[in-house]
Amino acid sequence: MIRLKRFLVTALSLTFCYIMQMVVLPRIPYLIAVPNLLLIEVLSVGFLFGKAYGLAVGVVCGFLMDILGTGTWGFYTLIFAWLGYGNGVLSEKMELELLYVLFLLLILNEGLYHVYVFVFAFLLRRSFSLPVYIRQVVLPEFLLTAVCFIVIYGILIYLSRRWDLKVNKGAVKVVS
Amino acid sequence: MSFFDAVKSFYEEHIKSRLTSRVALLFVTGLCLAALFIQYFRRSDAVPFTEVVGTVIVPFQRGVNQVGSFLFNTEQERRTLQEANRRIRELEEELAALKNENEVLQGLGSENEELRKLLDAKERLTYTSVEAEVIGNDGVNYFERFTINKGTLDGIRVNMNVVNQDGLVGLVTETGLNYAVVTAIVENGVNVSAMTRNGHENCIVSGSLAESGRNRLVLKNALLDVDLEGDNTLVTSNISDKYLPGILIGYAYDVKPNADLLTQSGMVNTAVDFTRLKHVLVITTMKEKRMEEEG
Repeated sequence: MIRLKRFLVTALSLTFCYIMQMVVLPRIPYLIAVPNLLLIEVLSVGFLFGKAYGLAVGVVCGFLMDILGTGTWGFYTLIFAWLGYGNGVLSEKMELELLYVLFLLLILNEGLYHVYVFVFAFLLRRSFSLPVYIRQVVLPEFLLTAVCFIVIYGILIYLSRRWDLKVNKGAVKVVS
Repeated sequence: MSFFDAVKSFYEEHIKSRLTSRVALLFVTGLCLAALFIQYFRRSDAVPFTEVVGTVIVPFQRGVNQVGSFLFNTEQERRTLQEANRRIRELEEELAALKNENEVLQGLGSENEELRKLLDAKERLTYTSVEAEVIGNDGVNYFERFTINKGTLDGIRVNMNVVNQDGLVGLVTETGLNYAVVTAIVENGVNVSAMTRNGHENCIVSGSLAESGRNRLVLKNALLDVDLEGDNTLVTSNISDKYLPGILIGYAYDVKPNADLLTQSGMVNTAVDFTRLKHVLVITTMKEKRMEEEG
């Protein structure tokens, strides 16, 4: 039962994040950036439900972005798989009790993601200006992602506390 | 305890529990790297694999897109009645002006035809086009590319020009059987060779990450004596090897002389609003072919 609930929570939140990021949010005019909801999803699920779940969600998120996007296949799957797995491993090692640790984790995830994108999508195509990339892409996206992170992670952690879904005890103490 | 027992207990304690997800991670990594390598070295017009997969994905993509439209219908429905009425008045005025202009132009057109007959000029080539719907984007903030629902089956090829009712949108850069990827002119690093509307002066306009999401291009390499303040309309140039000539790009502004005092540079407001693209036209007449036909 717990497994089924865990699966449902993951599947529903993933669908929600995907639809919002790919279809709904890009249509809002004058939004400064589209928050990286799939990254939040990978981070939260990997962190709450462990590395196997993190990996699976990472692969699904990355695959969805690859097949429905316009880029090279495998590009996002690779980074999201590693991020999901990495967050799962980190959640085992760390006894997290403070909100700021989670934010550091979010910064770490965003940082790794954007280093990856910048190096492989911009640097190799010889069009690079790191300050411009940071100012135009990373900062606006991070602002919105941080806000959305609080909401989505809050909902997920509430649900996993209510139904006792969590794998790592330490992760749940944050909101308690 | 024998050596094998030690190995076995070590395996059960330390490896077995991690085996599944770790192996899965390595498997996924290998698969992705292989896919990336294959695509990197075979970046041709049509990769059979993606063509086949496209037939499955495109209906799915359209479905997702429809869900999006259902959840959040843009623009028209959010406009209030007041705005709509104001818009109607504006359009009526514009229509009256255009009617006047049209009459003048029709006169000029027939005059032009007669002159062309006199000069025994070749028939003017007309462009054929295919209408397409925008069905997907990357959902990220750094690419200005999108997917359309027409592909090689509808005659779409790489390097075809894409426009909408306002002006130049971009270029087809990838095709599948039933989809194609369009790279917009506002994508970072895309250069379009442009000219003023009278066709006398050339310059380069480029997409830049620094202007992403603002419908702006950077203007470069315009000669100093070009008056871009007076006639600031820029269209695609004759000398471009991919873009058909005479398609509206946008309007130059903020043009300042460069330090070398030979050229000037500035910004361009694009005619197309890239944040609200829904329908586009793919011009199936291609520049290279046209040049061949004209000899």
